[in-house]
Amino acid sequence: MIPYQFLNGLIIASSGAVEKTAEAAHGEGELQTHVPNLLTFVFGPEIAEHYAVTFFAFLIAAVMIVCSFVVYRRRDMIPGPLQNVVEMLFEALYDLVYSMLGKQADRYIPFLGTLFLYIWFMNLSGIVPFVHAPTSAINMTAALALTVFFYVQYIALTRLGFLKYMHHLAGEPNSAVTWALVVINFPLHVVGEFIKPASLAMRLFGNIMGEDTLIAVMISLGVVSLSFMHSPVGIPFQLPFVFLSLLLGTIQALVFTLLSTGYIMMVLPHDEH
Amino acid sequence: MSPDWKLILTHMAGFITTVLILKKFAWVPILGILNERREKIKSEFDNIEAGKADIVSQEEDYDAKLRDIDNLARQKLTEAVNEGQKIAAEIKADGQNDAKQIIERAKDEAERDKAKAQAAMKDEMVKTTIAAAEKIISSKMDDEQNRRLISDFIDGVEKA
Repeated sequence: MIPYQFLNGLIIASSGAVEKTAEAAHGEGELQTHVPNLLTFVFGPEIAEHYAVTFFAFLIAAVMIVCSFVVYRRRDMIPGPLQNVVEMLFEALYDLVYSMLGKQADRYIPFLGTLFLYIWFMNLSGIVPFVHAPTSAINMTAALALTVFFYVQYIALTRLGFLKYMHHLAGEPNSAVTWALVVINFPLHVVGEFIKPASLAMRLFGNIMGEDTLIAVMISLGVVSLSFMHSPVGIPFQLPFVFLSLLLGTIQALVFTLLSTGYIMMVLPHDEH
Repeated sequence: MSPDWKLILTHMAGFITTVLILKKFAWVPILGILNERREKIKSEFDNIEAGKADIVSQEEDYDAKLRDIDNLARQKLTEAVNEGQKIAAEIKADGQNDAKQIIERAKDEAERDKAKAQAAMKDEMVKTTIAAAEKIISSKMDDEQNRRLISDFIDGVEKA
């Protein structure tokens, strides 16, 4: 095993993986669309394909939980470096959610803040060597979107009540004309409620999967471009896309969180936000 | 690409667990600390503002006291000056009286001395006159001798 590629230590793949990628490129004349991850090297590609998403998602969750434990145990009025970073993130997220939900932000910030951090870390993990971005899998994004969907329904039913929620889904009719339109509005709103998680899941999945694929293809292209001289290191064509991935990963996490906040805001009683 | 419901449910469970744990050990305590710090800073600022107001009030009190002290000092000074002037006037008047009395006494003494001197001179003139008369009577008197006697008498008076 020779330490290999990914310029500036941002993305590193093993020489074996590079060779495999190069061989694949030579033998089949195709560029690879996935960068091998830790599980690929330890357990092989089949296991990695099945468990990489779950493994890395849980790993990221575990890191977040450990960090929160450390901060919780060492919390102080005069913060240390880790608490400082956590406070900065939390305050920024709280301000963001507060700008939409007002005083209701206190109640929903744990869910929405954790949602943002979880998605953000998973998005960015795609550029960490040996890590696979869990959000490049539809199962993960669907799980997050469904969680948001059920949470929004729960909030709607508990805060509005069943009848008011139905009234809300019917377009809040208050005149003969709007009541007449209920037959159109109600199904539209119900379908809209189901489309929301689908759009959330597909948007995040498509963006992150696209970024990861682009980076993998660029890495593969860099390796192939120097394969004629049997170089263990390829040209880092992926570098600009790594920075792009940093930006888009953050934006996608923000979009997912803000849309979720918007969905919650829409089902809250109007006088509460 | 097709959804795997077991995986989806697993991820949902994982995420919800993460939310619950982070809520208990991160969001609530950290936001609590942020609020507590915000309140503390606000309270510190309030205290500083209150302290400033207190200092301003004390400064005004001190200024007022200083003004009072100045006024009192000026008043005392004026009283002292007046008292001094009064004492000086009294001393001056006493001095003038004393001087007047001394002058009066000196005048009286001079008058007395003058009177004494005149009396003494008178006695002397009488004695001299008697002596001259005795000489005239006892000797032969002529006009020239009378003139000389009178001239001697007058010289004797001038000397006296």
